[in-house]
Amino acid sequence: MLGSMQNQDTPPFPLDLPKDQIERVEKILEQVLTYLRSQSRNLPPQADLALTYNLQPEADR
Amino acid sequence: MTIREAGQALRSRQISCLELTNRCLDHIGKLNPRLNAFITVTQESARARAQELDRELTSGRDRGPLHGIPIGHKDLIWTMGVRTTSGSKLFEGFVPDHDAQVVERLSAAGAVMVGKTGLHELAYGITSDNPHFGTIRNPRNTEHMPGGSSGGSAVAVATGMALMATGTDTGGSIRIPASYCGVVGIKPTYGLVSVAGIQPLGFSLDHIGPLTTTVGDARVSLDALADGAQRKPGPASVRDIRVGVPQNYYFTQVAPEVREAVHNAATRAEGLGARVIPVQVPDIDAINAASLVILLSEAAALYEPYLDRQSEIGLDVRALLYQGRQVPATDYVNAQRLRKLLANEFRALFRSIDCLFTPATPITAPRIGQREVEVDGEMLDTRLVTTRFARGFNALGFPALAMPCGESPEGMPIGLQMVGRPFEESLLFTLGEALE
Repeated sequence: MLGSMQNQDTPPFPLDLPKDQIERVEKILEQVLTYLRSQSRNLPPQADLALTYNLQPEADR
Repeated sequence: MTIREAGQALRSRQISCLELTNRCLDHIGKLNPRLNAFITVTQESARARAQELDRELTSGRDRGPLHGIPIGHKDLIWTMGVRTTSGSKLFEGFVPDHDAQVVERLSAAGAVMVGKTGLHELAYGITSDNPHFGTIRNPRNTEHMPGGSSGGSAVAVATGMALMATGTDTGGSIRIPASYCGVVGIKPTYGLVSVAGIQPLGFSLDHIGPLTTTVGDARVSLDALADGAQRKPGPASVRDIRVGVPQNYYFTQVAPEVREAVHNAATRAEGLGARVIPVQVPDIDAINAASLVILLSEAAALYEPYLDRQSEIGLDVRALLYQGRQVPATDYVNAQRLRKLLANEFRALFRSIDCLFTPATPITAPRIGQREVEVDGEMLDTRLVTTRFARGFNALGFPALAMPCGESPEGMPIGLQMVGRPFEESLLFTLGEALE
């Protein structure tokens, strides 16, 4: 289980989802999160969320 | 027929708006049963609107390049009084009480809506194999997928059922079907085209743009879709353009014919006077990982209230929604932070180039139902392979245009992706038109 807490009302995957599909998506998610975490380990505090969506040139500053 | 050709024919009275609309409706009647590009066809309102536009032309009112042009809208774009399903059983009876802003803009520009095009369920996938509204098929070979999620729009344009169709792109959903069906599609700069009245998927990744048969048609379509004031003017000549050709990432795990076709396109650009520069691109795996984590999280949050109706959602989409619920909030936040950092790295790259050339997709259209593809001797997940070159630019928000640049030995189209700086769509159009 990748998440630290699950919603108590809902199982992690739909019960009628074939086992091979569950394994496939779990494997993909694990790979993606592992890579993301390795890359975000050294993020500087200045890498904030404030300008994430601003693509105007001023966002460079 | 292109939008430009149709415009000339309309203004020289060789054809009327009604005849042009009827021509598209005839194509739909003949081809749609086999290709399934449209979920809804609006023939009566289309004919009435075309007649109105004919009267305007006769009286001297000309709304511009899209006057009388038959178009399709992806069926997650709200159309007042016309069912908008999002390709989902959840919304199969939904009839919006107002138009999306893009519908308003295109209608004001004189476009005639002939129908609503099919898509991957909830725009959350790349096959357009829809469990509720049927499988959309690639017109080049109906055993192959058209790509998605805007599969119906690409098929409609490729076959002349419409001269332009709208698409949305959250992880490649305009560029992938453009590449697989041999048409042009542009994902403009993030935020350039209004998302008001569009069923979202990933709030911070959703883009809207046109699919057309030529780059020139994409230019006039985007002019109508977005306020031009934000966009920078294009260069005077192709000679002023510096084209970056990546030496890393984009030409590994790629079908040989795709690699060759994109390199040939770069050679042609050079022959037209552009300066081709080999470049190293930042970490694309990192931006793809960030983009996927953001999409999984945002889509899961959006559809959380619908999970009590999960039996009405197809298995592949349901699996993705559940996958998204397993992403911790810390990873979502760090993905957004990483996105900002990588965007700065890409801005730095674009100080030495004006445009980046990559394949739009590493492969040509896979067969319908094919879950794995062999690339460079390795078996890979079809969805991950297909989105590999497109997804990152949703997180970066940079404009990216897909256009045909060749064919595989089996006759399937190959797509070139050209990426530019934010708000520099005109530069991509200038280069794309020259390459055409």
